[in-house]
Amino acid sequence: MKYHLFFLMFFTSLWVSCTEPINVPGLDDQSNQLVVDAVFTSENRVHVIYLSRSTAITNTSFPKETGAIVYLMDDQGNRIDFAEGNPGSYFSTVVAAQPGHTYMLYVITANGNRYVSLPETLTGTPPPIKNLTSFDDSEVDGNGNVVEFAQIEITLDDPANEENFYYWYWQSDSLGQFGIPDISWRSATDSDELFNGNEVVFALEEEFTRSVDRFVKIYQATINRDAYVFLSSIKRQIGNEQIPIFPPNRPLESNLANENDPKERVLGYFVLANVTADTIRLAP
Amino acid sequence: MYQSRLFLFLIVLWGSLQETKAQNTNTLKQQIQIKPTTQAIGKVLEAIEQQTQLKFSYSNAILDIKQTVRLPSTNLTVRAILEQILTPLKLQYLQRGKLLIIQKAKDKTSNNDTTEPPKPTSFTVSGIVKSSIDGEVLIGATVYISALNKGVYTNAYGFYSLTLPPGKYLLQSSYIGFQNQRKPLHLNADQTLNLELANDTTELKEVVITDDLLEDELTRSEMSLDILNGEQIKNTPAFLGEADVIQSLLTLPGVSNVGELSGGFNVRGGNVDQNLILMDEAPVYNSTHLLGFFSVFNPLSVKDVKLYKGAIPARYGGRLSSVLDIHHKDGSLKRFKGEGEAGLVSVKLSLEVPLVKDRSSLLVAGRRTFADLMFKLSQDEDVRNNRFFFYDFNTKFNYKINDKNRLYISGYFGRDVVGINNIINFSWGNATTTLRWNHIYNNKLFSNTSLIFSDYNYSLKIPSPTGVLDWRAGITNYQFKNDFTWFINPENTLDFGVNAIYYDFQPGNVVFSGNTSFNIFSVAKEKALEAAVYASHTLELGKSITLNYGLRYTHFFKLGPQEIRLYQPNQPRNNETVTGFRAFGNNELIIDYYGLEPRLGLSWKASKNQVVKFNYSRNRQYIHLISNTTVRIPTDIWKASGTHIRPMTSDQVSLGYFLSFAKKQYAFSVETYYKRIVDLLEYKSGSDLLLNEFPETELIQGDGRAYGLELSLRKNKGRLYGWINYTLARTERRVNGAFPEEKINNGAYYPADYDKTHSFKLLLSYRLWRRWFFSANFVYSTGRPFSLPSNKYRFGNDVVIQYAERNQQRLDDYHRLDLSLRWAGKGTKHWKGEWVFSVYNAYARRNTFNIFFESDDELQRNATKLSILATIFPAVAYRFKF
Repeated sequence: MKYHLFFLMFFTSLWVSCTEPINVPGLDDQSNQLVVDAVFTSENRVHVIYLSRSTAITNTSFPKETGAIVYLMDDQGNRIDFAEGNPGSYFSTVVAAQPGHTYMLYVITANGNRYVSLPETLTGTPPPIKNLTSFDDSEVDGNGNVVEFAQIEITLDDPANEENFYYWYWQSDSLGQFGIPDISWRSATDSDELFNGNEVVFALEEEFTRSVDRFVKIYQATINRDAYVFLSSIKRQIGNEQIPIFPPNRPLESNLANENDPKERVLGYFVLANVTADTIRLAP
Repeated sequence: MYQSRLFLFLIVLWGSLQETKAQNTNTLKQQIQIKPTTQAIGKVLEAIEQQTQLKFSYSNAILDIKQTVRLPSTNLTVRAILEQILTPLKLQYLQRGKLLIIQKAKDKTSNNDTTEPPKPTSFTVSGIVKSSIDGEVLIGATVYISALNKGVYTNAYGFYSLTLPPGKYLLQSSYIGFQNQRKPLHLNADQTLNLELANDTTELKEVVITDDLLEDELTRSEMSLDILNGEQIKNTPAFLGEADVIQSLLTLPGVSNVGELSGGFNVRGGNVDQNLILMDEAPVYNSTHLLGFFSVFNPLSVKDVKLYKGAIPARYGGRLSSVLDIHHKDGSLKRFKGEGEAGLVSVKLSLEVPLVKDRSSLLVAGRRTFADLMFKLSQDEDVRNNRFFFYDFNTKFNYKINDKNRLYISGYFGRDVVGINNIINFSWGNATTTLRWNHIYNNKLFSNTSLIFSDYNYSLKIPSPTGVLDWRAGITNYQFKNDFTWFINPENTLDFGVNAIYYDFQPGNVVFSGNTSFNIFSVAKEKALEAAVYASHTLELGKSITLNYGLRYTHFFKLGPQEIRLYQPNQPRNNETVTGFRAFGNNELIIDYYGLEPRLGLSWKASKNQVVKFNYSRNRQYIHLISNTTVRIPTDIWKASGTHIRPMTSDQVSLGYFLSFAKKQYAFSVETYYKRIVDLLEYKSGSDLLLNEFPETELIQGDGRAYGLELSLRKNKGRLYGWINYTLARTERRVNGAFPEEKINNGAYYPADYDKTHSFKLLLSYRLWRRWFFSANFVYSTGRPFSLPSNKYRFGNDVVIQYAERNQQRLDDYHRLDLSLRWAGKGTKHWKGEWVFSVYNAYARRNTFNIFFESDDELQRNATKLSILATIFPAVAYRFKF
């Protein structure tokens, strides 16, 4: 829970002055697990699937998985192909996930390994973004200069009597010219466990610089429980990594597997999301 | 020349003896102010004791002190009063110095009476040993008859009982920091003999570990037991000069922690939650303040600290690894006194108030940190609004109803408070209350009956413009226990009793008040009852062997109301394998666990200064601290064993050799132990336990083993004293469930978070000059294990670090030196003060607490070493007594 993290972060901050870089042997071990980063949404647009490999913790980049065949099949027999545009990035044509359809992702890597996802069905409709508001969070930096920050809050009405799992991703731009959502977009997740059926305000965990981030586009998606568990686990683990009393991360369960070698651990997830979007302009 | 000196000495000695004799004779002639009314004999004897220096010794079997007597006038001599009382009862008194022994009058015709019953072969002398200064009962004091080589220790309430053949003896009594006392004992009937020991010349005494303590190790059958008193704790160099019980325990062999800020301690490979921590018998569920920097025990009010590291007596139960039994002072029965300390972090004050002299007293002690008051001086309003402090308050009332009954009421309340500029308000703390009744049934049978309340809770409040999030959790227990000690004879002592604990677990309740969109969220409460009955027999076999065996039976009942999740059989427990729920009504039995806990101890005194000891004990633990962090944090919750979480069981064997040499100046000991734990509770990697309604999906049970060798060398006397301890140890865990997600490190043994192969501890004190004392504390240990990342991958804008195996790497070695210099002022009769200057981490060692992987951009991860107390911490404190 984020409040708990906040509290622990406070105590961690007491220690920050006592940290220093250290060389730890054994960190340069190489790894070579396939990573599938696939988000297919109800928005009618080009979608991108990213394939890469896990790597040593000391590396500064992630190996791209090139030369793969990537496609989606739905339960109606439709096939959606993804062609490699950039190394490791596979693009579809303009297409949207259809409500009620069930999709499976297939990845055939250049070495012939076949990976397939569990069937995922697009259900539910995300509640619309009721309101996007920004509020001032400016502060004075160490040199006495005022840095004009803004924070953004999303208001929505959570549907009652049903479990909802939310996935938000957003991007800022000074001109309001947004491309298709890619891996540079920030994201967050939450479930309605604590606010089921209520109007709720969700604050994005990012401070926007008013002079640069003049426009912010936000997607609000609903996803299924398993996808939520995967995405929220990533967020929690990343938070825990900054607090050095937490246990090591656990391997996250993917919904993809090697058809020929079920013991091979595949990383990443095929996320099917029903989305709505809105954009806010930050006042200077 | 020498002859004349000897002659002079003999004259002085003779004169002294005559003077003493005359004083004693004169005392019997002293007139006593007493009302000429009908009153109990006990009251009359008490008046004589109060108005003279005389003390009475008598058996309840021959003298009923409740019987009334009427004295003819107000000013009678002691002799006249005694004749008035004793003659009708066919009793007489025998004077031994200031001791008047009341016994049956000799019957002159008895020599001719052929029907005289056979004389008893033994009589019992019993009583309470206490301090002559303040009437404080002395726990663990020795009462010894050297002629018979027989002795006993006073129990937790100062009571002793010795059954011996009739005869004349010299009874000796001793206790750490007190002068030995020798009293003649003419044992021809059962007797009550209360003893008052005088303090040693306290402040300038350089010995903190007396030969009495050494005698303890050589003579008592218990092993793996460490004893500290308040003075020892106060004289150990400490962080920011704050004397601390747990920091002092860490200087002992077999006691460790994961590092600074660790919130507890580990004993012989046990988790933090495997220590039963008792404060005046009440369990304490979180023993630290400020996330582990300080313990909850105010050193000014602590009288006695016992740590059982392995051979846990049968009267204790409920935890696997150790019992830390802390008793606070009772409060002076003689005179008003106080003690205080002002340091850089906190102020402490302890007051002892005799309410009725020699009958009733009150102890009040408190402390509060004041560093947060500095915030108020800040120009920045945000800083001014911060709060960061703790306080605690102890009190104890005791009332001696009569010689056979005594009542104690003690309480503790402490709280930590953290408030960050109205963004978050967090507080946590313990509260305990203990009502105890000591009753002496007869000279051989002592009982203690207690009613105990204990509570730990935390509250996290997060205000917002529209409302407040209020999150609370905790544990409460109510306990009844009745313990008996039957001193059958010096060779046989039987302890037995019953114990029942009712638990109320509140794992978490979140309420949103005000105009908010959040609903109430609550994790179901749990209820449980733990009952126990035990008996333990200490038997002396000849002059050199002592056998102690005991049995404890415990029964744990998990009670409703609660809804229990059901899972598919032969499947791992997770959200996908849930088959339904089963609801249990209020107080309906959900599940119960029970078992026997045998205890066995054997002590062989190989020679006057060598002892070999063996011990075996089994312990069960039915409640668990649910935590997945390296250190204990205040939001960790306690949980009962239940349908999905089994109780833990441990078996420990230990063998020790103890030696004293160089006229008891030195004590050496070596102990080795092996401990096995079954159903040890572990967490899955990356587990999320916070406000988790179904923590069984994140927890797994395995087994553990811990083994080690502890060497200790103590110097007990002289200007230089202290100890050197070395421990070679291994603490391992194994989780090898039926399913991949129920395995850690593929089911192989792996080191526990606090496993340290080598530990070396040196604590030395040296009296520099008459009033100057120097102390040094040095610790070294192997670095503890940590988990090294195996690789990373990217998903979206996030970088995920993966770990292959748990705890396969080690941090660098830990070492630290602390120094302190104490100057004891000359003081006056009513005020004694001393200054303590200390340096923690004297050479500014940057010990590694942990290594984590920080990001300097979105993709890069750098290994970063975290050191918590990475510099020198000088401190000064002023202590005073009045």
